[in-house]
Amino acid sequence: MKILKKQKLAEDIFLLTLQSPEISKKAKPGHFVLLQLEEKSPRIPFPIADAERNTISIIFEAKSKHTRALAAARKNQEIFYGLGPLGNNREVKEIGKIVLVGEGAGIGTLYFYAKTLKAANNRVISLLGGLSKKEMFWQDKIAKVSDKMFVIEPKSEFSCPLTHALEQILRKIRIDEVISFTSPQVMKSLAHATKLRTKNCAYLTATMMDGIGMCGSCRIHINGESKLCCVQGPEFDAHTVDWDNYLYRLEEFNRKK
Amino acid sequence: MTLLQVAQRLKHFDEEERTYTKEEALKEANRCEQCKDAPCENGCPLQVPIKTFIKAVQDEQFDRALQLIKKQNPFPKICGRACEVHRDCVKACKLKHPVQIGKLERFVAEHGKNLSPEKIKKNKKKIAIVGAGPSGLSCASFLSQKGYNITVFEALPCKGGRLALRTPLYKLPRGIIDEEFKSVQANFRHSVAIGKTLHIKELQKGYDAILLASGAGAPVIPSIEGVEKGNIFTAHDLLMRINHMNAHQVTEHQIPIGEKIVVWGGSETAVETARTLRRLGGEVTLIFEHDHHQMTANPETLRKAKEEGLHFLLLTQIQKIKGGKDIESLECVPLMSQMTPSGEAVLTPMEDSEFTLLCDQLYLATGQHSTPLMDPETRLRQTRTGKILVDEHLRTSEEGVFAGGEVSTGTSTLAGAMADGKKAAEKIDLWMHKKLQNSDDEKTF
Repeated sequence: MKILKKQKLAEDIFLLTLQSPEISKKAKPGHFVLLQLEEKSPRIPFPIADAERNTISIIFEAKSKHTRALAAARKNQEIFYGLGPLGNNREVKEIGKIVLVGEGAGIGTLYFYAKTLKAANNRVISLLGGLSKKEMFWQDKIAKVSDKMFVIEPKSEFSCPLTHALEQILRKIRIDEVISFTSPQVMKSLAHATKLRTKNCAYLTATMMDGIGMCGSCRIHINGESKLCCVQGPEFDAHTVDWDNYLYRLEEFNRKK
Repeated sequence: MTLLQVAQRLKHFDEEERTYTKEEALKEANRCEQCKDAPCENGCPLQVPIKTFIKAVQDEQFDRALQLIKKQNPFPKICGRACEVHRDCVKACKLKHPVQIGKLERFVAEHGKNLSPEKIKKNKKKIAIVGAGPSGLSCASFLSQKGYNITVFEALPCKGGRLALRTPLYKLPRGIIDEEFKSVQANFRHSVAIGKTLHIKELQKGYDAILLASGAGAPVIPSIEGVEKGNIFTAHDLLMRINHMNAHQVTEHQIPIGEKIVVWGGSETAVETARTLRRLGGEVTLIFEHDHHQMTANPETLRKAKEEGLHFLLLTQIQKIKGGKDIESLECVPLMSQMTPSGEAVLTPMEDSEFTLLCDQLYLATGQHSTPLMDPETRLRQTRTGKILVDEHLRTSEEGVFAGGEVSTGTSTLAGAMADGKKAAEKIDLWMHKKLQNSDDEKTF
């Protein structure tokens, strides 16, 4: 899997376009790829942010040692191992009015959803946050595939500006589904806001070794049961996720080191 | 002694046992009495002619011994180290101290010379094999000898399937797996998850027949109170980090080891998980609901584990996992075997004997299901747990698609999976020559 293009989109946020004819043919919103940059690197799942002829794109935040290494990779460099498209894709159909909430690198995943959901006759409202207006990327691309788009400044008097913005929308319009691509803390807050009001789907990610259901590392506690994010996700009903457990498990390795 | 001393074994992940020298092999082979009925051969799923190959060793005809083995078993270097059913052939040996058949097989695999390969007349028929584990590669090996053009699809970057996942490096160095599998005449396509990257329907268009041999790699997570807590891992998680990612050397891939570790299970995977943890410096207790007779782990592995200081709590049930966000202890109860009026033995908890076992890390080796196929388009008939249904000829519900090994049999031994791959090769060959029952006949699953 060769890196065809690398672009810095914002502070610590990068886009990689990868040559992958087979994955690009099948990739749909929801899918992710598992990448291992070098033989000794860990395998990391990345949501697919777009798929075009022979290529897929991923957008990620370069905050850990290994995502920084990926951000430092060169154009034309071969990635040691890549597998995909993994996970369950969203069945794209006419739902009605949908709010997509994205933050940071999640804005890339939001774009892929907005593009396909809009094409399926949905009314798409995009709510972007986590970055200052100056740093926001793909605004124009997302505006083109949204009926309405709001950019929410991260600094605000509200503890979670995105949740506040969503609540305002929910007060005015009947929304059929909310889909979030944010940090788990924001997802948890959004789930609180939508409970008993509308459907809320969270796009989750977790540590995984193989992406095909073998390691059990990506277990998520849903409605009292263990589910595997790789083969049963990555979309989960946000109202059934045990958020505290999810947040705790996400940090399991970092905490112990 | 071919086995390293315990203290040395616990220091590293290098191979724990060396191959016999010629003198040792001859001495061992010469103990074989060449029984008329060869009871040792009955237990081998691969039908290795044990008696005859040992006779060849006695006669110092090591090349011939290797040819005899290889006719039935394409990967003797692997089986000589990792076969769990050696207990069956060894157990059947009539001697008080049974002949060490596996160790002799390993010696032959390393000292015998392969015949220069016969010129195989290639045919143009293309076969796709899904999964580069023991069953898939055994099938690939036998079919390629018949001239078929084989392509093996594998999701992971390495070969070996669950064998390479569950068998520790100190028992089966990866170089041995690579060396043995290199002999398979096939095109290998890694990084392809069938069902995701390519669908079975697409394979059907490009290949004359397909074997699904994607194994049983999905861990079973028990439904028990507290299983969601932190510091609970599957055995596969640990073993994949060590055996695939070299976490014992690349420490950032390693799970930080606890102080009071429990491994839950009685399989070979469970015991090897515990032995791996001992090498990483953990104090380990293995808890299993049944007694040692029901443990599917190889007795030889169990013996080594005991020597290495593994504690066993058998006939013990874990009832609850307790703690805060992380696991802190296990609520357990001893079990006793009672006979029902119908004469069946059932395990019942002993009254008022519950106890708490301190535990800061738990590894689940509580079984596995078939690796999920994940193909949105397939209509293959499967059980609720994902096992692919096959008839006696290993045919699935789709024409031209066969399934073999753990994906259709459930958890199997190495030799069992390889034997299934061999059977699949025979059946596919018959089917290609239209000698298998008419495909219109009803298949019974």
